[in-house]
Amino acid sequence: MPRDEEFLYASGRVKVLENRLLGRSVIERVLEAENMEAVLRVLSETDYAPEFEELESVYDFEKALENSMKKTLNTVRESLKDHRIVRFFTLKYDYHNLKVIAKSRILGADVPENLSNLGEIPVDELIKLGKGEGDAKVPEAMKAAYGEAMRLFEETQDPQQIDLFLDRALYEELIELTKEIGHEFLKDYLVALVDLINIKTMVRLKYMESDLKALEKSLLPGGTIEQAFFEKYFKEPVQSLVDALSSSRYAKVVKEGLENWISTGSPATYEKLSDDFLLGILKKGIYKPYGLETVAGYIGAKENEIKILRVLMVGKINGISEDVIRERLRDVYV
Amino acid sequence: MEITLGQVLALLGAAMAVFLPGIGSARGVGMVGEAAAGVVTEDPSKFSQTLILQALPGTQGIYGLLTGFVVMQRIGLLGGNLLPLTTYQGLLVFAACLPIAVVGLLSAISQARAAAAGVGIVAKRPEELAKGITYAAMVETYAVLALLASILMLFGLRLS
Repeated sequence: MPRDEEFLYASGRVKVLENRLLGRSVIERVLEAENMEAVLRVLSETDYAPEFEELESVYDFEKALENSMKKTLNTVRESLKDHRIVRFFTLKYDYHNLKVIAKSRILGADVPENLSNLGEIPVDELIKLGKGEGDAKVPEAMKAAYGEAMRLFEETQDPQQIDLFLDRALYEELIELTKEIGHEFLKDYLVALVDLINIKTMVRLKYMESDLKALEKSLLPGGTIEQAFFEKYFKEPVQSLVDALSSSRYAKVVKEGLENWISTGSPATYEKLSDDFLLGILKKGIYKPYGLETVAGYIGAKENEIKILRVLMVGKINGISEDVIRERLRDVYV
Repeated sequence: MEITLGQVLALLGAAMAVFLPGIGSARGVGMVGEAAAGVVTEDPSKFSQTLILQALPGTQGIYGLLTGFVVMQRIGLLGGNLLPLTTYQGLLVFAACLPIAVVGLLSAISQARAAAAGVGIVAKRPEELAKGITYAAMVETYAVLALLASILMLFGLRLS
């Protein structure tokens, strides 16, 4: 387990950078902005100024958000000897790219779109892998996962199998990574993440009237809630799942989120509450003067902030009313 | 002149009084320095504030050195006239060195932890620097008490 002292330098940097995270008042001002120009005016006073200045069109905001996240990841990476902590957060981007490439290959598209810049495996190497070139510099685990996902697709001709298999592979690799790092904080975060995703998956599949087999394939490994539990409640009304989890740590998320889902048919509240729950775990980082928690908490906080900004931007561009956007806004870290 | 076991023990005590708190202080100052460097990387204006915090765990090393000097003076090493100490006298000097040797080492590291947390205060609220210093300085009390105990014992011993 890494000692807190190994994070002294990085934590010092992070403590200053935490000041530059957007507070509630800035989010509120973005929310109240009348149009995109006003949004950009507010953001030009924040840490996002350089990224948004470079933009040619506000519709490219995704690029600006990605660049800002990249800057954060680089800052943390250069402050740490052990890059695995950053890897814990960037692995999902590589798997996202892997999915995009697999699907573009199926569709026969030459240059895949929507590739993320935040992954650590060069996109060119992944494209090489997609083209079936054997010398692509991609880690073996990912190569194997890609091969297996493609094989499953050939077998079933169902593109969703690729997503399901690669998601599972991602979480298996994350479990390995947290074991290797050996710090309770990341393990705890991953467990909660998996449990909350699995609850959502189950309810979603239930509403889609899928069968047990689909559920088995969709549940992610690494959570504290057993597969048998989900299988049992899959056949019962959602309310019984809420009751069954009423004494778990997810009680509040499940009660408010799922009851809202039952009544409105939308998972938005559940998603928001899950994110807030996960942010609550990350918030240990603020109260710790130095250590892995401080650094990992900050990366998670930045991801959360980008999510908030994305909701705000999409809402503003599409002229969605303030109240509707507000309902979907996540809690902030600082 | 023949060297006695007492002299060796007394000198061993002096050496421990110097090197153990010295190690503690070096580690402590290093720890706070790392955290401070992190803050200054992002905000260079915080240099002087963090420097004060960095210096705090350095005092234990000074206390140890001071104790070492007192021993040297008491056993006549400084004057070039080393007293012919008996084994028991040597053990007494050795025992007198223990408080600052042990407390110096451990308190320097504890103080460094508090001071590194203080660096976090400076990062967030530079105007509250004094509070960060106060928290870290509280640890100093115990290093001072240990120094006091060691010095009183050393001056109380009748060696000649």
